[in-house]
Amino acid sequence: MKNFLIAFHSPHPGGGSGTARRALIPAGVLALAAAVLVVPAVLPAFGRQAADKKSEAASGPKVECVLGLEHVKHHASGTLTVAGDALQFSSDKGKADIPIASIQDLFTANDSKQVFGGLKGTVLKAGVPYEGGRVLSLFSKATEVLTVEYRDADNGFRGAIFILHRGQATVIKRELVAKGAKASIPPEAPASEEKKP
Amino acid sequence: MKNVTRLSVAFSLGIAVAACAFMLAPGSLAAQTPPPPSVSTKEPPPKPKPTIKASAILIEPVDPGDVLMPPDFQVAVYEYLVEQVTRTKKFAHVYRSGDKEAANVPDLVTLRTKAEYFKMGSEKKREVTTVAGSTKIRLKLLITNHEGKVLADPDVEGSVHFFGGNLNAAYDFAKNVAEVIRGIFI
Repeated sequence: MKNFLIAFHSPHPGGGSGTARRALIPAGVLALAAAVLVVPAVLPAFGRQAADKKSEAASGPKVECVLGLEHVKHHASGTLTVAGDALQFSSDKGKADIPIASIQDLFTANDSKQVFGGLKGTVLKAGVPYEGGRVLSLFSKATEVLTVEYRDADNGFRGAIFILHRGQATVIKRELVAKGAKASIPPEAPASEEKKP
Repeated sequence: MKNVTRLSVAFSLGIAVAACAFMLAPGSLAAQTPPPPSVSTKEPPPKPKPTIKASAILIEPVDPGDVLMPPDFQVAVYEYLVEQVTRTKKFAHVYRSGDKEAANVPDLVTLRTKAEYFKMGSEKKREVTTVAGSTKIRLKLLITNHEGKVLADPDVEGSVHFFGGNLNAAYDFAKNVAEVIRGIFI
């Protein structure tokens, strides 16, 4: 950097440093042109991200409903919120509610780790033949799965599977359990609480 | 003259025997020609005709038993089961476990499933190798009538070998169960 400055502010314009300066000018022009082209293209993306975050905060995280909701097609995408006394999935094509009181159980990927991990899980896994004990997440590791077992209006058993961004399933589970939903495995405490002494 | 006749008879007999031997020889052309299709192609045994009639079926949730199966997979198996059994159109009503109306149906049959084997594969492995990473499940099916008499108890499998998510194994299983039901119920 120092050399660069020396070359640029050389007192001898006809010397070797002058040649360097001449060489640097087109490079600088090119860099400026690139910046002019790139910045307007990137700025709206940042704006969009911010807008997405704002809308997500307002309407709930974007999720994929794999299956299990009445009148909702498989793999429908929409938002998932805890609205009043129901878990609400909203998409462009409609809404579906699961009353919190009807929820029989809730699972996230972390619950599977709790169930199948640990000493008990290891012993269990060892006892299951033909790799039957090998349990991994069904979906990508960048996502988290929320499984909701509930009863419909006729008291029929139903199960819904949602794919969310990592960490969001636990947040929703915590919210639902706080409002009275049943869960055989209690949700993990938030990270901020864990850090407290 | 008699000798000539005897000679000609013996000669023709010899030719006939030689021709027969040629035809019956294992490497001969005649032996290589395929026998008529009606003899060679064994038709598969005819499927037994469905005999049981029921107006409604109740589907119970998957019993994982001792097999470690993720809850999302159990739920997926159940939901696909309900969907595929409904698609068979063998029953006027397909009830979910706990449905209040199911108890009032006199000829209700109940479908139970118990996990016997589960192997979680990897979609990435399947896509890369097309050989490794398959997901497989095997469940024991138990179909009982209203009195609890067992009508059928086959083992049904589901798997995903090449492309597709792990849940496709649950879908495959449900489709196979639907096939079993088509074979049992009128």
